[in-house]
Amino acid sequence: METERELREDFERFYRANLKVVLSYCVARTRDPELAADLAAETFAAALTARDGYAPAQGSARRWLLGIAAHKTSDALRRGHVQRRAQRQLGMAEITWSEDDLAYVTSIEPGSLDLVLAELPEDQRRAVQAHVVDELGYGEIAQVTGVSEQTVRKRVSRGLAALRRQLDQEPR
Amino acid sequence: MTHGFDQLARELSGAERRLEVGARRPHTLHGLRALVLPLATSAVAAAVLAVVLLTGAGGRRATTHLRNSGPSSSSAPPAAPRQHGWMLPCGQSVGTQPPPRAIHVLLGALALPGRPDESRALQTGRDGARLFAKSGLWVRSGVRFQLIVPPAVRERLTMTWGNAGEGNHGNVMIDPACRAASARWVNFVGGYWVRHPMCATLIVVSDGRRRRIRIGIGTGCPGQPGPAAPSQR
Repeated sequence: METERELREDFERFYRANLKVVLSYCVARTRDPELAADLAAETFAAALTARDGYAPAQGSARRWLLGIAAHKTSDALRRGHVQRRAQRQLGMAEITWSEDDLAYVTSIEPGSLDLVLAELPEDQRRAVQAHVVDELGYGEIAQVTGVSEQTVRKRVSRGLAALRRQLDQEPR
Repeated sequence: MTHGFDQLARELSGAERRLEVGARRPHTLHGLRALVLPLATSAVAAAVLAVVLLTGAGGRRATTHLRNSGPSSSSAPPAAPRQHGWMLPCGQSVGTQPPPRAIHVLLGALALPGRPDESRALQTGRDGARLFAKSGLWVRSGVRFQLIVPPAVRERLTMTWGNAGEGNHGNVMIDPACRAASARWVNFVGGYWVRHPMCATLIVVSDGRRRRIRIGIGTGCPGQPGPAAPSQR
């Protein structure tokens, strides 16, 4: 597929093809455009350093990239800032984001990730949004939605499985 | 795409070229020694990297250090010399609760309500000729930080934390020895005086990093809902 080839042969095109979906994911989880921009930079740097380890058999390049973004985001939310480990390893300069950059991030906030989520059935979309993006516990979601915790778990699980299949189909 | 993300693309391209040159290097060198040395070095580096990746050792060690021992000397804030800041006394804290889930931690050091992407604007009340917005400050135990009102805003905004009273404090720092014995957070009350409702910019500095934040005071920042109840103006 195109982004797999770009990942190997033209990383800048891979970056441009996937920037929005990474930013969209990061800003949805952090609700902080500046943190999301820092996370995107570190995610792509980490992907560049690790691209030889990517195996298409394990899923699409975009899913692999979002896996890196998810890991970096969790780490950043725990610490309160993004570690620039991969960027430092690559000798990359730190970028100071301008108001325009942050406005750009904010402008795509409801975009790419919602497009991916929108293809899920309503109950699964709400469950995945609440659990993965808003980081609510199963019990909290069950209370709000008025269904059992087991039902919420099932919806999240099915929704995530559908997302995995969807991301593997790319390109978007 | 904006300038910053174009710059990121260029940085990644430059890094990619350097990686490719690095990968080709052994083939372009002559002699057994020149070939073996880089391979041995990269094998050691790969082994170290594998250990770090598998155990997460580097990152976790840093976190533990931050929580248990306080910041190292290298984590001193880079801006605003110490003598120009006002030290927030640890004894003026009012609790050890963690920040609410909806409020994100900034630079691993503190949390403040009123940011546009997290909550409504803060409510203000009339205090003489000015407005006062009461707020809270959550500080991670043992972490050093500065909270700065940019000079351009100081005529319109002052802040106060702890028992500082009249808040002529454009630059507030935490005592690095301020830590809770068995909790990760220490809490302070305080707030902001403003002449008029505003979307204020503040700067947080901690661990060599700087972040600009916005706080809606009496009125929402762009995209932010106004205060829950009508504010006095």
